[in-house]
Amino acid sequence: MNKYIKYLLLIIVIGLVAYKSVYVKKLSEMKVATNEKFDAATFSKKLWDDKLPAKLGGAVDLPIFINATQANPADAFSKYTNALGIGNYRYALIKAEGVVININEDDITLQVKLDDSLMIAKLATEFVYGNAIRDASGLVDVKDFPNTMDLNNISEELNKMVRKTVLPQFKAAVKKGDKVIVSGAIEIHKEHIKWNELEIIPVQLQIVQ
Amino acid sequence: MLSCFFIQCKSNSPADKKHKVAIVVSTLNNPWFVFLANTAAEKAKALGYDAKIFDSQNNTALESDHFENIIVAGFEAILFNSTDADGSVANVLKAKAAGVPVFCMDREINSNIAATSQILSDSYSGSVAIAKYFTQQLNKKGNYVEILGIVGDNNTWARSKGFHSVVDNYPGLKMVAQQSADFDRNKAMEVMESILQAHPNIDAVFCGNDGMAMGAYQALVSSGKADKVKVFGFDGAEDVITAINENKVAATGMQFPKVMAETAAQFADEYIKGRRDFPQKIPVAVELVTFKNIQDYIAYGKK
Repeated sequence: MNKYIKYLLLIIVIGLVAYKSVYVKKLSEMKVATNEKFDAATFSKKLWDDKLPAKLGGAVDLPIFINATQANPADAFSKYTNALGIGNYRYALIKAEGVVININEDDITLQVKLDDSLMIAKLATEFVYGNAIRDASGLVDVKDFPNTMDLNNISEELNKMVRKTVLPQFKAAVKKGDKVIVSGAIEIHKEHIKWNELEIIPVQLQIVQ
Repeated sequence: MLSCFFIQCKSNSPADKKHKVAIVVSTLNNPWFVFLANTAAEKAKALGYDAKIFDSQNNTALESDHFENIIVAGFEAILFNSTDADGSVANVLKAKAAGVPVFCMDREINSNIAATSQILSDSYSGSVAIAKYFTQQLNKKGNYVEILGIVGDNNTWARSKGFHSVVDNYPGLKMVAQQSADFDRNKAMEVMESILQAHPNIDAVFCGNDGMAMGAYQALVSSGKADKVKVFGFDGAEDVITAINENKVAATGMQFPKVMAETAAQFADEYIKGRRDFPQKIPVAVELVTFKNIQDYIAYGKK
């Protein structure tokens, strides 16, 4: 009788140890999010067509933005800029009007009129990469995208649209001396603002004769 | 027996008990991760917690042991730098099941339901910025080598994909070799030496971290090619910041371990005090550092 009790106790102990030692999880639970395929191209095209034009309509004039950052940087960054992550980079949608003073291989040098002075800005015509348009637009919320690559792909698609649909026609037509009106995105390092290195990523471009 | 009971009750009373936070880091064999772990511990202590650092030595099994010990020892939060994006998920889920929140620092895990929040370097965007500068420095043409980090780590691929999202648009840029050196300086030196024998005419090398960039640079110095080949890293480690200042390394992506570690510790404190609405992932911007703007930076951050 004692022998049976001993075996029974042994089986219970082994059962308890085994139960606490092995965890079984569904593979689908481990990879729940990776199976949901996000279509960044469709999402970005919809953003580009339906929402971005209205946002660009409300873009701040570059001289106003510069004056605001010089008067009260914290207020200006809070009012006019946006960024999805933590860090020093802030992004703004701006409007600017300038005269083409140089056409370079990768960019165009614009002379932009401020209140009582002139400034030089670069208009990117080749290296349109990064998060400037996505973040400046304020149309994408990091909380909606737990997969980081989805956010990266949105930037990629928006930049691709600039490179493929906005720039070819403009580059073919623009000449030195032309007046250009641009709406686009800029990246500002809030700790080290360098206006002499300002680069505008264009979204809308217009040559005014 | 009765006295033991009272002693036990006394030691568990909330007034006397100091809350504990664990910091689990992939390796302490790399100064960047030492800085990350120490900063997290300092911030946790500043917030009033006991903090203990656990070194996983790049070993998922050891990491798993750490998690089990942490749960049993009653730590109330884990500030976590994972060893493997997939392999570490089970450990985080185990902590979650035990009611211990996990805040990932720098390295992503491949689950959106396991960690309470992931505070991650925006490696992809940082590499996009490096790749743009890389392409400009090479005038859109040349042969290059890519040295990857640990293949099981998401940062390795985020950096590689970000880099290729730019350089692959320029057919004049040809990748002659792509090999992993596990984020390790010595391995990178060996890998680079071997690649240089097969491909002596290269113009640049892009490395997934600064340790590997220094290893590659050493190999280039040994072969007499250091002046010809441009080296690009990622991290913002001390020796690379010095090397950029001396024009030996072309650029790096400055990460901010202090920001990530302090945010993770802050989040843990807020969780313990009752907050529950954390974003699953928060990107921390990576900044391009070159000879032109090196005066704005110090190792692991900005001046």
